[in-house]
Amino acid sequence: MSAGPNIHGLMAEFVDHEQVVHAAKRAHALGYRRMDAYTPFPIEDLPEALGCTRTGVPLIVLLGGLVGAGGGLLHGVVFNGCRLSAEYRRATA
Amino acid sequence: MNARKDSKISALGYPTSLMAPGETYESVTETIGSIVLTKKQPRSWLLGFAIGFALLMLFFVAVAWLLYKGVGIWGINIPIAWGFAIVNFVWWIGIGHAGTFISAILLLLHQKWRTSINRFTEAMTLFAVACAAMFPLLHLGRPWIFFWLLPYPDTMGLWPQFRSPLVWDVFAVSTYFTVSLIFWYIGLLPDLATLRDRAKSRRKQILYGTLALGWRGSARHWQRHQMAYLLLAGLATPLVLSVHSVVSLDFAVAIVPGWHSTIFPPYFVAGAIFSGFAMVLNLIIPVRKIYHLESVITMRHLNNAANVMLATGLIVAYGYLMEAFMAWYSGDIFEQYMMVNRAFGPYGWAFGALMVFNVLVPQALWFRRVRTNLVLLFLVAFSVNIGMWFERFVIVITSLHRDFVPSSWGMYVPTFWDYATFAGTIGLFLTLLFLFIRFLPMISISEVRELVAEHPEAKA
Repeated sequence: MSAGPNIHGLMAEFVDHEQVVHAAKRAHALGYRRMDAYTPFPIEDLPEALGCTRTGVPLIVLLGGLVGAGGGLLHGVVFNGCRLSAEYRRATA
Repeated sequence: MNARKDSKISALGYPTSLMAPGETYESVTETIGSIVLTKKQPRSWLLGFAIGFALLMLFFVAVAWLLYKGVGIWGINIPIAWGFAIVNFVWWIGIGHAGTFISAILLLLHQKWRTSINRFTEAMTLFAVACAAMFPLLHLGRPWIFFWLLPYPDTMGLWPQFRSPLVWDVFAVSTYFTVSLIFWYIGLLPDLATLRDRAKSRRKQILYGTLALGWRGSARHWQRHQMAYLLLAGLATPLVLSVHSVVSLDFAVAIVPGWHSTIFPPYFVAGAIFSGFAMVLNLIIPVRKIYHLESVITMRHLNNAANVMLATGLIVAYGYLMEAFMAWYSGDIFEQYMMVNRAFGPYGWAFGALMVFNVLVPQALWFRRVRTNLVLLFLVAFSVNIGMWFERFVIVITSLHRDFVPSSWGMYVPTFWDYATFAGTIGLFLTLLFLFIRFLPMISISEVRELVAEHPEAKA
């Protein structure tokens, strides 16, 4: 490279969504990791080709669901427990 | 007028193309996005919005008068203590179910034909549920203490009656609304970003940009988005079945003949999808014509919607048949009288209307000529909408007006305010719908782009 501005990154524009996946796979194979791809619609193999396979979304949804379901099932228990203990206290005061 | 001949017809003769040939990423984005950003709204939008808004004003008057005077302004009395409020509530909730069916269930079943209609129908669901939610609040004798329906520890030790389906309704409908809203919003994110990127004015850029939450279309964004979308579809799917089952239990747990039927949950759910698809067709047929969306909402979509309507209509007809059969087979004199009175009593005209609108007219959908003719399809769908309203009317009013003890029998005469409140909720629905058409992309741009990508002749 000649003496000029430092190159911090490279961007390429593709015509076809298949080309994007192909390029991502080749870049990944060459060892590039800090990559991203921008598409106007989701492409199925793209996150894998870029090397990002994990997402925390399912775990968060599961935890949220457990808290919600647990809360729903238990709120009757908890609130009636509060009521019973208040009644007991009042009755034995 | 007949629909344009579709270019692709299957071996059995049905329209198969999901999109007109020659569409590109740019053309679909432009078709849908320009309605919001650049094109002037057509005259019919202004007319529709004006009508909706006028009815909304009527709604406000009706509600104000109701809150001032009380539920006595309605025609309810003993024995028919539940009138239009519950009829309209069930009607609106039923309409909402088609949207979730299309968005969630058809997604899980990998049905591509949901793509261009899911945004619109999901919005229809949200607005229908909003209209439905008005009634449980308004029909309370003391609506100012509506919050007593929620379970919270209060100083009186008062809790809602958890054994009542009316309380289950509170949970079911609010869950349904919340999940539908989030599902709709997540689906909207990429399209809001598209609008942000194409907006010409700074104001619109800021508005859509804020709502788009920084969406860049990055592969990581898409990965999380698709995962969230799928999970929400999984959450929304059981709601389609459970919410209307809970609503049907409002009646089924009572002992009144005509209500105490175990067939109610599946019969109501099928009826909900039936009426919902009828409303979908009634809205989409004119909208697609006025906004020139025939290239993305094709005859295949309308044909499929008509088929779903036919199938669920048959299930509903089976429900009617079973009710009549069980009334006879049970030998229960009250049940038998209820059935006879329903058909031949003072409200027999409503029952007749029900049979014509809900059972007879939809049979026209067996014929492809009807399913692919826009005017006829619109009329059949309209008939089903009316028929489903009559179904709820027949179930509620005829069962209540003559039950066990003849000395308690009475008649229900709806008042002006009953009709005004109902028309008012139609106004609320139309107002919200027209605002949605004006400000948000009514077809899922990113999902339609996916369809373009799958067409071999697509160009960027």
